[in-house]
Amino acid sequence: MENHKICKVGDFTGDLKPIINEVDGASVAVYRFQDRYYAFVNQCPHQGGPTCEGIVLPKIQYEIFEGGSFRESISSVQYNIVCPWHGVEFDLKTGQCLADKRLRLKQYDVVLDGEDVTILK
Amino acid sequence: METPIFRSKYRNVPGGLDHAVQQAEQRGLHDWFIVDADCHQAEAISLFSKYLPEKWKQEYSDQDLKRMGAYEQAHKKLGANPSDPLDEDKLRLMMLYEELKDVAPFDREMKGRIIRSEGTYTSENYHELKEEEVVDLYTVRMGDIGIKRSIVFPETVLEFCNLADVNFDAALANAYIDYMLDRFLGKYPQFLSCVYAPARAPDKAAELIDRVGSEKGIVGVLIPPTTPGPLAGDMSWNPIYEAADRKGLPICFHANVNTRHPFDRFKKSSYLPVHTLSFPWYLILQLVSIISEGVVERFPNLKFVFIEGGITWIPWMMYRMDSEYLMRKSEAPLLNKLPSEYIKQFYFTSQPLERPRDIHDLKWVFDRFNAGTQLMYASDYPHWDFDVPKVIYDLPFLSIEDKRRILGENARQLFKIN
Repeated sequence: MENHKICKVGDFTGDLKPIINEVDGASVAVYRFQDRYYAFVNQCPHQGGPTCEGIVLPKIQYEIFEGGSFRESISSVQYNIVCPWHGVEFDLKTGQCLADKRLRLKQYDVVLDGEDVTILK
Repeated sequence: METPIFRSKYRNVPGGLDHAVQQAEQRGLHDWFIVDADCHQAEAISLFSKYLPEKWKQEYSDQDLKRMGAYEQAHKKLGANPSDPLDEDKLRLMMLYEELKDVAPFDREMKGRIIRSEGTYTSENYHELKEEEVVDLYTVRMGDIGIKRSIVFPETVLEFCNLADVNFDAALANAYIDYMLDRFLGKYPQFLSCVYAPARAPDKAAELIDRVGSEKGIVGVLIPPTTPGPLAGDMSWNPIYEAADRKGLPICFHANVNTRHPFDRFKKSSYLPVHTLSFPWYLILQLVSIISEGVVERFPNLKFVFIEGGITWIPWMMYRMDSEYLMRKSEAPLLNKLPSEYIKQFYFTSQPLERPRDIHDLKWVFDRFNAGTQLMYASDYPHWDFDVPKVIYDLPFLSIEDKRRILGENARQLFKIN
């Protein structure tokens, strides 16, 4: 396992915009979300699309009330990466696919080395 | 027409096709003869308005537009401010949009989640591809992902069968194919298409097939299975089949969404249930009709293609029809074999290919209808549920010969592609 530099801490322009870089020919994306970092291979397990080039949106959650009615609302804590090819959604923190638990984005540990954001690969 | 290279515009952009290019390179697909049996043009109707006969141009006067509330919308779309002069042909065709706007109102991009720049729909606007973009898409960019030939289907034209005026439907069918022949077909070898047949007017459809069916680049007859009125097994459709037979063109039922009954009973905020059902639903409707009414025996040389319904419904329909036929043979006297045997003679496109939990379930489905010779790869690009060629190439149970056939050779043979 080696550290591979992806970017610098100051490169991030917002919580929802990843920095994407190449590591050994593979496209890797790092997200900074609420002061923590998450890294994924930028490849969708569905058809191989560039998942991390998609947008990040809050999860649609729901409440079921007595009598069977329900209400949808937008989560303020859980966000998803949405693959721009087909709309398949993945949890921003774990990379797990929302619809099919068998699928997940390949994830790397992120290590800060001073100002450098690196992944362990 | 020169071929502008827009490759840079569509490469290195969020959601672009770079990954599909890599997939093709990794699998050596550039050396294969891949035919995309169904992709889309996102045609700009305003571009072919000039091919309409004067009679139909005049039919749609400014008064009509104002009456339908389209005038203001047309101004908004076509002109910067209300006093701008507008192209009258374009204005008249805005009326068409007005009449069709409720046919497919669902949000394909899932509230902005699918953000590919090539996407043809957004929540707010219908994005029409410009001519140069269409040429670039099918001569350059599809080649980049390994596709050698593209059978390009329209979008809004698929909804013409819902226009109130059948004669206008037929006039537009003629205008559309004249535009295609004038601008694309026969000019770019990669670019093939089908002639849209207005099946509610079978004589006019037959006339159109006879007129253009031998033109270079036309490889089939397109009929939306949602076409209202008699189903495809009805004798009134005979002129269409006779014409297609004369020209040696397969009948291609291209599935589309229909939001009328019973699909209007689903909530409009979700496309999931309607898309799940509507596409195979109407293909099944026409398939059952052409078998039970004996079209398969009345026109034994005619080929039928069922496009964009996936494939897992095929075994269901084989078993279902065989069981019914066993008990009710007298109601289908023309048939000389089990319905499933006729279904095995039909052709199907692969997209959107279903993903069972166990991939070997898919092998079982493939085996039921002899997919090795009857299935053709289709991307449906640039639509939201498109399939890249690797979807077929990576199937673990297919032999290399079957992959070659499904990805290209079956279509090459059926559509007589050089």
